[in-house]
Amino acid sequence: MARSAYMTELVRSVRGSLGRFLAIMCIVALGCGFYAGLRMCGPDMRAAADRWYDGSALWDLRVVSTKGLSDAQVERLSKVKGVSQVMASRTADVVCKLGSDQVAVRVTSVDADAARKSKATSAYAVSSSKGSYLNRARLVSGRWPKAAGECVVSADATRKIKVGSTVEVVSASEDVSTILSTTMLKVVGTVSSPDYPYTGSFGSTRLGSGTIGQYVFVTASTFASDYPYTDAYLTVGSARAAVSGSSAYESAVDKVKDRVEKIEGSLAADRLAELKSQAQSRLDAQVAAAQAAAAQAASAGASTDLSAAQQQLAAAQEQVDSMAAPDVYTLDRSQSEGATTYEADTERLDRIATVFPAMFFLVAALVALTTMTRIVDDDRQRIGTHKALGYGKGRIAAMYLGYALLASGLGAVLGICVLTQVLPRIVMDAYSVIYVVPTLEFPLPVDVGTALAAGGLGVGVTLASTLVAVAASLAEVPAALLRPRAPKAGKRILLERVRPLWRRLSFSWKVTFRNLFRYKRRLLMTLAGIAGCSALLLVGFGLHDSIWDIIDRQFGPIVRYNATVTLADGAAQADVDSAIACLRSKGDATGIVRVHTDTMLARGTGSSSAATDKTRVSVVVPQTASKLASAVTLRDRTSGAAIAFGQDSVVVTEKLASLYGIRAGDTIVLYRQDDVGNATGKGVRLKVDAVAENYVGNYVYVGRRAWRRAMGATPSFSTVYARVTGGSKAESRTSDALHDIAGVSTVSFTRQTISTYRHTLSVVDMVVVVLIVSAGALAFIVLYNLTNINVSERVREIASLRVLGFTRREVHAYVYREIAIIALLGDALGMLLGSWLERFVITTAEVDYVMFGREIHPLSFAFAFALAMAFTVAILLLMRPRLDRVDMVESLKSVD
Amino acid sequence: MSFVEFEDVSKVYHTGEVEVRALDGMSFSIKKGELAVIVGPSGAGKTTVLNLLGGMDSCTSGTIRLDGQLVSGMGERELTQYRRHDIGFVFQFYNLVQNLTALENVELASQICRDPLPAADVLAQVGLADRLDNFPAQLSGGEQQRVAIARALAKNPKLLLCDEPTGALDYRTGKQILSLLQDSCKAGGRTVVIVTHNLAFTQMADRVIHVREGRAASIETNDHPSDASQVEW
Ligand SMILES: Nc1ncnc2c1ncn2[C@@H]1O[C@H](COP(=O)(O)OP(=O)(O)OP(=O)(O)O)[C@@H](O)[C@H]1O
Ligand SMILES: [Mg+2]
Repeated sequence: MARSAYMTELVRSVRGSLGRFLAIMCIVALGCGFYAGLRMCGPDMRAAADRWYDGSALWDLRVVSTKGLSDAQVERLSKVKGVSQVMASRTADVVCKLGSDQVAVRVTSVDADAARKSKATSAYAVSSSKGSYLNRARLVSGRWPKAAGECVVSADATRKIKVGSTVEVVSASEDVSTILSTTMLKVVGTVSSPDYPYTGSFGSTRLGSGTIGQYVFVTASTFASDYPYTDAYLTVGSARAAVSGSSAYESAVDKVKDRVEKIEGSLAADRLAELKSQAQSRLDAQVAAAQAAAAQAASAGASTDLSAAQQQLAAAQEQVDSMAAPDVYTLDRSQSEGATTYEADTERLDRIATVFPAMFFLVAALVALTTMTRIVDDDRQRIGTHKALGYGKGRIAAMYLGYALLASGLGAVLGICVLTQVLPRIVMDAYSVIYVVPTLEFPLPVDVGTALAAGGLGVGVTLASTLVAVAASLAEVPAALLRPRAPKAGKRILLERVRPLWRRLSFSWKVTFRNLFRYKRRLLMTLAGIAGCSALLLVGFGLHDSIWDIIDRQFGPIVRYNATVTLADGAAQADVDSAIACLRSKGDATGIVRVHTDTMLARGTGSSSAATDKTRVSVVVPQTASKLASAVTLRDRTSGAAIAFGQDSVVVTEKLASLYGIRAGDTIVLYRQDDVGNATGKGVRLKVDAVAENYVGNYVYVGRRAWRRAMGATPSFSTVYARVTGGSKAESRTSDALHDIAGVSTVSFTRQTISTYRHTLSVVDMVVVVLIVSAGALAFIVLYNLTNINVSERVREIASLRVLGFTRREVHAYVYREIAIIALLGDALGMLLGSWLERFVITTAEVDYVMFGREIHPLSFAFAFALAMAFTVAILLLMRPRLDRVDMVESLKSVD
Repeated sequence: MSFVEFEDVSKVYHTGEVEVRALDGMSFSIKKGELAVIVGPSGAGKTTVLNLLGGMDSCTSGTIRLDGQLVSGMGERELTQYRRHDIGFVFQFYNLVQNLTALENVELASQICRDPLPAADVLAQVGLADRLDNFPAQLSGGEQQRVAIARALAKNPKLLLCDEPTGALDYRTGKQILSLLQDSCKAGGRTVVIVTHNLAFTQMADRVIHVREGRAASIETNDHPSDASQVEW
């Protein structure tokens, strides 16, 4: 009986205040939904990648040997405990001619038979009856190669290659004929490979500009017949169940990796023995041939050059004997550029997901508290009646807690269900611009823990707010509750003490000021609401500034060259001269500077992991120190002061310096890197003279003398920086001409780099927009709710004014002036909060090789400020009919 | 022509399906400078009369005039101006702005009309000369009602309308308020209309309008109204 009365009352109170019920429901839905939705973005993206990697049997470990591998070693690898499948393949980086450009291309052999028989069962899975067929690419168009000289190219490359066209291989790190059996590759199809999820870069290489621009798969027969396997790809069955990149995955893989690493030495020895015996038998054959020739010659009576031949053979023998063992490395996915870039992006999302939802919850709590307080206040009489009838406090509180539970519970379920689907989907779609990971389909997975945490927080916050609101009323005796609440007493404010000022204020301003401080809680909440809103807007605009600034500031003001020409090692001086002459004549080039460039690994001094984690840097050594300034502006970011650069100078760029806390006078340590990017040697220590402004990439500029002192070698200066004028036409004209010059290895223009960056950054921008729009919408709801409550609390006052004969306009002014002042204050506060928050988000979202702009443009402040004010004005306009509708007769009839 | 004229005024409220005839052919008039009392049982339509006369609501049919002005035909904007310049209202619950001092509450009204009386003077008139800087919460009910009267008077209105002005006050305080109202009529020459269900108030009135079921049942004039301090109930 009592139970049903309770239910009846609950239902009636929900129906009676549907608007407020919905307000609580919506705000909790948004708060919980955003929390859960944003939190699921990272995991969903990782799940999508994992599904793809598993579906296409992507390698977990990759064993690389500098002198190749043979079937014997591959066989040994397959015996390692925990290794499920092994696939050996050949890979080589070459430079191809694509149109007028030269692009670094990674050529990999594919098991053409297995590939042809494989079948794409979905966008993310390729099935094959051959278990050892790994890294299964999905055929997008055309067919798989059958014969030598046929290839399939990436369907995902920014620079598309048509099926039916032919790609010419022009150079490689060694003679192309030792690598490939043909230099003309006919394109017969396009594929999408799980090994290259990131389209911004397919990997780094020592060739050309340093980035792989295209990958192709060819038959084994396209490689030179004696070109050995370069890699063995391994899968670890026990890691399959775990999500790639997770700690469970890593620990499963690491166990096997440890075992593989244990046999690295013996694999290397094996390979050495093989190579030696091969060489020996070749040599023996040569010796035999030589001896036969000698015998023939002797019989013919000529014995003159026998000793020379013998000497040659002896030297060859010595070479065979002194053959060094190859370096064997075992890599995991964390050393694969695409996979790690993707994972880093998802982790950045995770971090952003910790900032924004917190703000959302704060706001939701604010709204729940004000709304519940209002409901309880309105119900004073009813609470009093219940108390007078003898209901216990618990029973009455349960009533409101039930209401709050119902509203917030429904909101939480609704918000979580909708936003865990919508938000990750939007984010995944945004990222699909630069990643080719097939996105998950609806329904997206929802992590139970995350959903429970979100729902629990949302419901908990609302219940706590309700308790706070109810407790105060319950503490009063029934008689007091049955009487109308004494109106909040007027009070003098501090400002009135400042007599001269107070006297000068007009009457209505006095009222406004006093009202401002009358309801302190409401003041604070409105202030917080508006400040939050404008802060979020500023973050949006600021992020946009920071992101796009890097392009405008980097290319032009800092990087003054727009063309980079690299010459083959050991290019003749004549070739360099003609390249420079060509730049001048075809491209009207200015600011021509010859430099030596090198990719190295850098770290700071000290033993903390922050200092010992190495970062890839570009080292630039100008041939003539004084000329560097015409290619690169070295300056201090804050003061703008130019940095002097001489023969002994060492200048590092800002992001790199901040990674290791390096300032002028500190030391940086540079390491050479081996084929797979591991640091070698003890490293050289350089004393840093200055830190220079820079946004993209990490650079160390070293003076010629300082370089020689540190490395003990004379640099080759095989790179030329130049500023070609005349736009893209002049660039392609110059490029064509340069390629005809012997010794010119690659030509690249920053135009391409800039467009790649724009492409990548537009994604981040998109995510930012999503965040800000939703946050703005949330702030809008909050403002509306607060203003609504503000107005409804003052209905009596408004009615009194109307009776006195205040016009509508005067009433608006009277009520809104204080809201406008709070809005202005809140907006200003939001600018402070926003610039702080923006800094936080920027540093969280930044990648290691990019430094976003650190300033928010004045115009952005203006926009954010104006937009927040526009929100406020819009809400006030929306509320105007409510003010006008206040019924004088009704409002003044009785006290409650 | 009389100062206040009600001619066959009807007011119908529509609440959902139900139609309530609050006034049904109400007619009466009041002369300038009179103190009129409108009495009747609960629900008779007294407050409705006052609301229509005060320009807070418009009638369904009939004509209402004040000082020759046709009130019943006014639009929302004109009604606002009418309330602003011609009417002073006193309610049962004082409806003061809590965040303003006594003086400021009076100034709130006087600042918007054409030739207001000095706020401090009016407050002195109602006997609150030394409470100017008190907030409503610091005043007793009677004192608050006096502030409300001062607020209405400071506008220097043509007509002072009071709805149950003593309803929330004790006997003694109520009497003080009545005296004050009678005084502002007699000494100030202002026309005052008081709505009440208390028949005792009729003794002090120049004119008594008995209202029953939305009509003026009878109208009496009182040539020798007694002093408000003599009224007993
Ligand atoms: N806004 C309204 N909507 C519907 N009906 C109304 C409204 N205002 C008044 N009424 C009805 O009109 C009639 C007259 O009401 P009014 O308030 O004028 O009475 P009253 O004489 O002032 O009574 P009381 O002495 O109780 O204050 C009543 O029946 C009342 O229910
Ligand atoms: Mg009434």
